[in-house]
Amino acid sequence: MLSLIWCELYKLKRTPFVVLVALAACLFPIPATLVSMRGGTDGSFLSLSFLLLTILAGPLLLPVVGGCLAVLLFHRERDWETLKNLYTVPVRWSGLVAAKLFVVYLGCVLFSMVSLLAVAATSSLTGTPATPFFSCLAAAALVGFFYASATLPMILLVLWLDRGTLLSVLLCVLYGVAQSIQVFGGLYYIAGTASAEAAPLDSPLMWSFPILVFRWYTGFAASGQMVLGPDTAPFYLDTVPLLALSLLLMLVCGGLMVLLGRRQEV
Amino acid sequence: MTTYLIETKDLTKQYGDQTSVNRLNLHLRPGRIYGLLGRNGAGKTTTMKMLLGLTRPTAGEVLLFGMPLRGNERKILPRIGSLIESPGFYPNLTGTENLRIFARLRGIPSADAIREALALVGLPYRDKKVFSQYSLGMKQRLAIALAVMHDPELLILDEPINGLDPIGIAEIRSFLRKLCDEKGKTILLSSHILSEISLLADDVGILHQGVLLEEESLAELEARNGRSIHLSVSDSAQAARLLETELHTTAFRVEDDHSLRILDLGLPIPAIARTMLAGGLDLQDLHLCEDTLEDYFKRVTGGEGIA
Repeated sequence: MLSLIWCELYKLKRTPFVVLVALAACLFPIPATLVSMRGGTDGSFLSLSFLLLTILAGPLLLPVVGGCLAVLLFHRERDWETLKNLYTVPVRWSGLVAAKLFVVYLGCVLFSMVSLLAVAATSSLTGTPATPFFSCLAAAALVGFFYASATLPMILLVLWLDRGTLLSVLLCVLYGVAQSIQVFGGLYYIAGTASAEAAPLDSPLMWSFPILVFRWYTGFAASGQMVLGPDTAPFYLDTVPLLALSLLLMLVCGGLMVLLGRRQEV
Repeated sequence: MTTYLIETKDLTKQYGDQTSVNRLNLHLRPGRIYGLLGRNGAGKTTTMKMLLGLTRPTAGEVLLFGMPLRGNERKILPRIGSLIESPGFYPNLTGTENLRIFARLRGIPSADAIREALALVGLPYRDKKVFSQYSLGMKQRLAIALAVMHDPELLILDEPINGLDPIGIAEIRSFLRKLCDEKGKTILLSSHILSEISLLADDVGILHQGVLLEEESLAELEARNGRSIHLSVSDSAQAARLLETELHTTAFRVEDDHSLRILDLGLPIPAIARTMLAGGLDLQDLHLCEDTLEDYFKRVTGGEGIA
């Protein structure tokens, strides 16, 4: 498995998309942080990271990054007819799927963490201490993990449709936009109540994936704890249900991807 | 009982209503080069894909190294090097980098294997050119390097000389011949180019519309289809006796009840005619045949020849 993962990473050598993503992860948070410091937040590092990871970069960019990375990794094998070489090694399709999804997860986690580091650097340079740094960094890693899981249904759709790269990338962008719309819809809904904690949870919007991440982030980033105190529930979410949901998505979507590929002949 | 490196039993592949390969029984002996000859669309690539487990047969069985392929892929496939259809590599990586990926997956730790494989096909080891910048010939060479990199016992090569220039073709031909003669490798190669098969193969299989029409050694095919005297008489058994007793030759083959093929070209044609007539046989036809392998191919496939 380690060899497969090494190979998947090696295949990304000289890929302009990777450079683009790295630049986006480093540069996008800087203006976002500077603008946010002027208003809309209390100016603390925690609020800035919360804004970036759960409202701006998280829902919009992470599905695009994860999705495009998956499109690149899966379509390249098809477009360049390398599957036959891999199958005759022999490499199993299930192993390939696992290695490619690992790279997608790694890409999302790294993107999220690098974005957080960029926020930390920007806020530090403008005189705002980057605290609590390590719990925010861990939260960023988890945001990357959660959004990578949230991207899996879209990757499954792309594999099932088996269309060209352009259409697949377009789907990833649309998926990212849809995630952002859910966040802003949720925020609009919460804004109509006295406080976030008082927002009724009977709306389906409050259970959409980006809002679940939104409801989880603050508690975890502030304390770095896996479990929040009962006084903050039910609005704030514990880490365990989100992790369980992500693992469920991973198992179901990953399993379906394996089944989908097994039916295809080279 | 002969142990074949490749043996197929009634191997069949259907795509919908179309039968691509029909009850194929292929036999490949160790240490030989087997040329699978057929026109475009004859089913050569489909056969090779089934031999490698890339395509599931509709019916029949593939035995490799005496074992059924199905269920033994992990044991069998590492012993095979293959090139199927066009070379497939990552366009953003150099030839060396591409091979490094497969070397890693095959568990080849040494960089020497990559260097040697590239040297064998005449490609540089540390080249900065990425695969997308390669010419068709270079791509084909890289694919052959990949096939031989792990020193397999069996090579399955689908149209290995595609895209190569004449010198490249001669180099690869000599390289494959050397692999077989000096290293004892067994090679199954397909081609629609008859001259290539006749220059390289020890055994030949002629595949036409998914059916294996012939499976013979090249020597046997050449003997059967080289120069000969064709004889049509009223009774071929009687003619055979006359050839043995009167003309003292056994170099002939009875083809059916009324025709023979005399392989001994030293016999004068008028003498043959006189002997047959004197023996009371009706002589319908007597002529010198100069069949080439291509003529033979045309005859058995019932179509136009191939390049």
